[in-house]
Amino acid sequence: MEILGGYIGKILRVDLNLLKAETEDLRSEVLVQYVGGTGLGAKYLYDQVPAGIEWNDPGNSLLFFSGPLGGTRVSGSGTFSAVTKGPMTNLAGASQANGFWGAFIKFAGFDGILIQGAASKWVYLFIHDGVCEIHDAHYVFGKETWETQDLLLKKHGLGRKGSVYCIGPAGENMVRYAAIVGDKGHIVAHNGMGAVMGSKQLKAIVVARGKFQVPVVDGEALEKLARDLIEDAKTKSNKSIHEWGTAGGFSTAALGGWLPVKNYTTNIFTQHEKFDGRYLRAHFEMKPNPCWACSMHHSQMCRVTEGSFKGFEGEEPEYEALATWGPVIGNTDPGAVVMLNHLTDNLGMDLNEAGWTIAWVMECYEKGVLTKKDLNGLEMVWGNVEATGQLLQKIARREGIGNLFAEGVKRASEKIGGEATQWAIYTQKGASPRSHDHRGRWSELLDTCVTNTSTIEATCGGVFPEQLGYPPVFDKFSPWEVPMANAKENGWRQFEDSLGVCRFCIPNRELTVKCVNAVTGWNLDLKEAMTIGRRIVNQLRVFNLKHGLKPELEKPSVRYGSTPVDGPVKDRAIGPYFDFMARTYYEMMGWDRETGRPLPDTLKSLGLDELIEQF
Amino acid sequence: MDGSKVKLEFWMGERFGWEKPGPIEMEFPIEEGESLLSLLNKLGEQIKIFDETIFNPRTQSLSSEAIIVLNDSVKTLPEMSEIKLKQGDRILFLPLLVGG
Repeated sequence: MEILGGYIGKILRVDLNLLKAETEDLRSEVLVQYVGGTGLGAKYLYDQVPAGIEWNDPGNSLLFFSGPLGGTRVSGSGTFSAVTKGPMTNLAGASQANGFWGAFIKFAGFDGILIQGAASKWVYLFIHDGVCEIHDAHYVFGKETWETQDLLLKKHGLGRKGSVYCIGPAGENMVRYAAIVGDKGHIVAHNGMGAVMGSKQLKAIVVARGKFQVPVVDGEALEKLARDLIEDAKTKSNKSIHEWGTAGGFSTAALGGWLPVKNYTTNIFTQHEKFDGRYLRAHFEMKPNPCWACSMHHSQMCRVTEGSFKGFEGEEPEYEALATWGPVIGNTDPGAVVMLNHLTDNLGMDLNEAGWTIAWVMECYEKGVLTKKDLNGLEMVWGNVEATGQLLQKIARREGIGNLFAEGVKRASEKIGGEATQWAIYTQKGASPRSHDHRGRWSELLDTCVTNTSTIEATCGGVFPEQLGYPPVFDKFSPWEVPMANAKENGWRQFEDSLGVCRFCIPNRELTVKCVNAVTGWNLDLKEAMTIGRRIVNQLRVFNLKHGLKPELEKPSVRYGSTPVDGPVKDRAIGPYFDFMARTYYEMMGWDRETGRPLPDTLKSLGLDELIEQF
Repeated sequence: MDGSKVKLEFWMGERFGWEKPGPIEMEFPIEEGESLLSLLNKLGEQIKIFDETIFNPRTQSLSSEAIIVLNDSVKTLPEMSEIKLKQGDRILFLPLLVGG
């Protein structure tokens, strides 16, 4: 089958053992099954990384893919997916980042990059005009992420015609939750992909915007559809994000009981209004910092105008940064969040896991389990942002006590032992929840535990079955309804993450599928899109089962699955029901109710027959 | 009765096509012993697009996107018929997803 539109048709295969890069053709039969982004990542990860290869083995692959909408006139089409076997779970991870890189890689002549092996010295990739050069990275080794981006763009004379994703000190030191950071303010955050990049001694990937064009089958139709799609996002479905950024959800999180406060020891945060996007965008100085081809006012740069950090400039914090460096650690100054968010990005680590780790340290300090001496002289009292900054520096460089906390809160709490293990927030797989109190969002707590991507898989805040023609969830705290709705919904988000476009720009599912058809010349409907998404989910699941996934790992830690003692969701207890919910979810997904293994008929129905005998 | 009112706070005004995303506040009269479910039915009949975005009186269903909080406590649909409202109660209509 010929590839008509949506793809350049080439991928780049980089072997860092041999310091060699080659171009391969994309196969159209793989594209119609997996589309792009997370889907292609799942397929290549499965094919290339056999059981027994650990996250830091040179045999692990680090995969980056745009998708068919990447680089088109659809808003937010600079997004890409990264897929690998990650160190938090030692299972599959899939994570998305926005900015420009996803569009520029296509303009440079490739739909994606497969990176294998490990270099014997630090290198970076420079991709331009259909070729890839591998350069010595001593020039930028040890540098933080923003400085690395500036230096490499300057070195190659790219300015705004280039995009750099790189690791910082955390990735170089293989902090388990190191991130890949790029386009100043965008992060591949989940499952320690920056540590995988560090294990390969790969500091950065520089892409020069080239002259390759993304073929579009029906440009006239796409123009109208793309306009309707972003109009719907800006004026209706995601108007709040357009007006106030993701921080526009801060107060509602506090009022609805899903704002995380002081390591889940309380559910009340009365200072929420000063952290909400409504306040921040009215009081802090903001400057637009949009992604590729995007007119949503989601990403901005900001300057703090009040409080102890008045005058500090950095990227506008997303909701998750505000929650993490605000209530999670007991800080009530939103200006301090801007500073800590900027620091975390520059060191190159996932702030969700960093926040759970530091909040747990603070609780241990309060309860006398960790002392000032244990903490290399740091007074880790709730809300101490200076000490938090110093500890982040130690973690990123694995200095002193930072070496333990660089392992993440699950492993650190197991090392400290005793009662402190009960206070840590994590999934038994080792992955971090996003920065919410999921005890007020049962659908996301379940999803975070049973996911195959290491972060949310079926949910996005919640599940919205009406969008697929099903009845709504009547009771969001029902042990019956929640797993059934999650299972019904699962597939759409993975299809979405395979398109090469930002989720915030495509809330209307019908229009999104029509855009894919206009670009590619396919004739998908919503049901077929869901089937593709479910194929991706099951492909990742079989990978995980082959790599050691067991049902006992798909549970929350004691604190993560505990019952809120106060606030809007006081006494809503998920703990007693969790095992039932997980098993109901398995069953509704077409998996064995006890083991969570996909049943042969499920795999057959998704065209994955060849996987049946493989796990 | 007698002029009792509850205070409503809409944090999902953009779903109604209102000018600014919430919160938009208003007072609404209630009858003696009126349940929270009864109030939702009235709002569904009287406020444009409420039935599509929050509560649909015809199907008696609450949108998956809506969270309802009464006096700082989240309430689920099955609980609402048993909850009796009183003067001064504060009811929030929150969107489950607005980013983050």
